[in-house]
Amino acid sequence: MMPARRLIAGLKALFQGRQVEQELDEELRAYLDTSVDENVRAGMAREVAARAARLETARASRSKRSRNRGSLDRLSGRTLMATVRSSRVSRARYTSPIPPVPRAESISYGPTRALTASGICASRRELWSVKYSVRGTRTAVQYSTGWAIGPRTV
Amino acid sequence: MAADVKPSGLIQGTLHMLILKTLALEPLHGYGIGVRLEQISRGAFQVNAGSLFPALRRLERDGLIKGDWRVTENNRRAKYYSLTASGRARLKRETREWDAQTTAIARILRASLGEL
Repeated sequence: MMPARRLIAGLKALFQGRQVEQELDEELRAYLDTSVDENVRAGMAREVAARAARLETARASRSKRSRNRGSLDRLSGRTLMATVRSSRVSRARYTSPIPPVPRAESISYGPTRALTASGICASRRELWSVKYSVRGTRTAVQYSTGWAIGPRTV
Repeated sequence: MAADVKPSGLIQGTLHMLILKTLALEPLHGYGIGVRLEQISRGAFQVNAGSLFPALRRLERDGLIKGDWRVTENNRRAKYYSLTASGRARLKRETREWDAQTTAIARILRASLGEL
């Protein structure tokens, strides 16, 4: 019983869909004819009037095709569409090109992150990677070891 | 003065309300609705078929307007739309909301520090 009902409902929807489609075609044709009549009445040559009207109804036909794709709501000007676009703004930190005012004999611009040594000292229970020298003090930086004891000066 | 206004796009979401208002005056076919909107707005709004027909479909689907086929003055068959009772009620509500919003917007646009 249920599949039969479903089939009837499906056929009904299909029939109604076709009916709506035919009606819209007829309506667009009526629109085109009226538009040509009005343009001719306004002094336009029939051929030119027909061409102008066809151009406009072509736009409406495109909207009809879009309606079939289910985008009627978007076309009817009801829903505001928003698109997501990736930001083209640089994510780099803004740094001033002007150097800071000197406050001491030697100016420090912050920790130097110059690469001084790179190597892995592995023991039975530790895995250390020495990478950076911060203000002249070599500091071992722990890498990927959950079972290391702690930082170690090399 | 209004005749100098160049044709422009409608404010988002207002086409339905304007169609309802046009049909509240008298039943019209698709082409007639477009012409009437242009006439009343004195050329400020030109609605093309690509915008008009989807809007009419939606209003009809929502039961706010109904269409029936008649013969035009040029002896052509065309679908004439008219307002339903719920369409009339919707127009009334939307007009009220529009008035309230435009009044508030106008008040904001005219605001100066002295009157706050």
